[in-house]
Amino acid sequence: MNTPLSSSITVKLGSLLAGVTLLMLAGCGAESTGASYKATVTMRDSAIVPGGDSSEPNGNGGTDNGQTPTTASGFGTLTGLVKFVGTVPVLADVAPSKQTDICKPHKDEALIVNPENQGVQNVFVWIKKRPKGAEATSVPNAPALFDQQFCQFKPHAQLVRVEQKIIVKNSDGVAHNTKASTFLSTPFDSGGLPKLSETEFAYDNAEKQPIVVTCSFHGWMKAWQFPLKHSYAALTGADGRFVLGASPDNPDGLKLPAGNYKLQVWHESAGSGPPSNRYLEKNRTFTITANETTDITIDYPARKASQTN
Amino acid sequence: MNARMKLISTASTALLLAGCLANSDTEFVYQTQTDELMKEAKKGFKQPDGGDKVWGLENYLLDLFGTPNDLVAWKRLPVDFGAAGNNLAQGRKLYMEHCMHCHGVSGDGDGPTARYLKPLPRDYRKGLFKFTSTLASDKPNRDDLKRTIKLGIPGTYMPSFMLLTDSELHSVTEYVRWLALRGELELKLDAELSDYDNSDAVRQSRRDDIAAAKKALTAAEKEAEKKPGDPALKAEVAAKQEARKRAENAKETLDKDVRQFLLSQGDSAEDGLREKVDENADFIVGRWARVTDGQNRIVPLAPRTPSSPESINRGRRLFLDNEIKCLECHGDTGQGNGPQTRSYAEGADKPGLFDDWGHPQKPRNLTTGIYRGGRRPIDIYRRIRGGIKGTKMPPNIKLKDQQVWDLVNYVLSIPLNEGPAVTQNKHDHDHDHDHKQADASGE
Repeated sequence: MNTPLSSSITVKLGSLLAGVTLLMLAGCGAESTGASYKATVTMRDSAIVPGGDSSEPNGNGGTDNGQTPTTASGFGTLTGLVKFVGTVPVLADVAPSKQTDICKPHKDEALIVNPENQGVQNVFVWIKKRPKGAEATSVPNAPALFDQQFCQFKPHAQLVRVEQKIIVKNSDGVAHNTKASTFLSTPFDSGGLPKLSETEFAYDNAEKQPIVVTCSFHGWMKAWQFPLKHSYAALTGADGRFVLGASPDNPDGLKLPAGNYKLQVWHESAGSGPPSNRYLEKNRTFTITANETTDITIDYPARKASQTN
Repeated sequence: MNARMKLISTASTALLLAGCLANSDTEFVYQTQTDELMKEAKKGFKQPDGGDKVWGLENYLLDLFGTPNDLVAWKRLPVDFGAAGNNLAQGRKLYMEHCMHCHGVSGDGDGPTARYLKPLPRDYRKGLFKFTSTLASDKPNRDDLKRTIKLGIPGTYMPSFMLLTDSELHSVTEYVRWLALRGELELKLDAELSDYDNSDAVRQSRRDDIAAAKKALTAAEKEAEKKPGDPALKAEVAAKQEARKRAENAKETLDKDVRQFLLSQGDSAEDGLREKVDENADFIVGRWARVTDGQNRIVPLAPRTPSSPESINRGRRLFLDNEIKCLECHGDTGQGNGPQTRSYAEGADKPGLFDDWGHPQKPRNLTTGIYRGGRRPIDIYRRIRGGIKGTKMPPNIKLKDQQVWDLVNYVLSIPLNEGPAVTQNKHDHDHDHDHKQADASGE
């Protein structure tokens, strides 16, 4: 039947249908960047950095090339003290929550301040690269020892060389699982490490700053390790003092060519969160004069000591 | 009426078509660590004397990997790009069709569907894949990834793609590996550039340092005024002035530093970002290439101990052994409700375990008989020996092969047990916990 009413409805429906079909077709056209799009592929040897030729892969695996000091005549050494300034916070003892017959409460090593001279222990100091003209020391043959007993890591802070063998020991009466959370090197997981057993590993790349070592079974256990490709670094002792590049064979430290340098100073309680947030000081300048020992004091203000780790 | 309807439908169609014609370029997204870097570190900078732009992290990634519509096949990567990159292009097409809606354009596990999924789809960008046949510290090999794509992951939303042809499976696996390599390089460069963090926390701490240095200087000057001429106090003031200068110049020092680093100049000579890209690419390639030919696979030396009541019993003893610690997470009945699920990890505000992607992770409820990584005995063997990468399931290389097979037999028997497999009274444990029901609806 072709009444006026039905014909206007037909027209409306027809237009609506046409509109919807066009909408749907429009939707199909929009697949220009979807699955059916043919992506182009450019083959590339390496980055073509503007202003330079495309570089050949460096290939030297990041060997230590040394940095150029600003002057070069004579050598000196660096020693120093990291001194806590202000009221020393008293940390609560670490209280193990399980296997308490073996894991006993112990002092929290996150901030150890010497009461006599306010020296802070376990502060890492280093320069980023071995200076050109400074001695290139080789990776020690003697392995580093990283142990755990009474559910505590020993030592709490450790400097190692890349590729230096580290013996991970469990001298404890319980099983542990030691993990190193790395950024630039291959992560290490000892797996279940039974009591009175050991395993070993070595870092295959340097890190930018110390990294944390933990135990999956005993969440309170924490230690910090720092693998470097050179030995121009130090860890402060119980008196808060350090000698850059010192080792048992070389207590006087390594000699640096005279010039200006930047020292990185890092401590686990100088911040919270990722290790990159825990610097005490970045790029602390110091100068080496020929045949002299430069001694610096680095202040560790109380406001930087973070309690939430 | 007629004319108006026509006008409306034409106008709306024109608008829609206009939208289609505009080229909507999909882009890879960057990870949080990249977003929080200083602008120069991310995007490079223009040299003041009008030389070429110096590249930052994003420029390198764009040049070496491209965009989703214009891919770059960087030959150094251990990816089978195929002749003229055909394999990669086909892989990308299949990925966009089948995978992108969950795994995201960048492989970040955050595609449009991801918000409705629990557990979340895999974020490839750490280069961590859970169900592998390789050693704990190694990358997955191609077969591991192909197996996951082909069979899917039971108990999750990852379906089986059994109907892909071999060539399609191969190309999409290569594209996934390529996305993972891109993500890993980005993270490594983030670590190299971590000095140039510009997050809110870092900027606030710089401001705090300046304020504190000013305060310390004022205090030292006041002291010196009381006793003029005292050399020790004069030295103090000088030291505090030095400290204030250092604090105020910290941002400028970093600005100068980052530019030198990006230019490979100054103290960073031969060790700038460009060299770090190469160095870290070599490192990542080495780790992936180490397993491409079937090396470093977990292969039992002892043949499988067939299941038997004795083997299951031995396995049960090992499972409940306090030194091996399966029950710490999986619970004494294997329901995934062990004490670790109620304890607080370092720095966490919620109890329980978290995986490497920062998401809460429930230990597997072994009573369900659903094994995500595969239900063959060798699959369970590999989970125990190699752990599950990216999660808190650790490897175990100290147990003997026969012991692991006993554990495998026990684990496979748990769903068939009629009652709880506990040998001691729950209340005898020496830790405190409240007896909540195991949450069986979790991961």
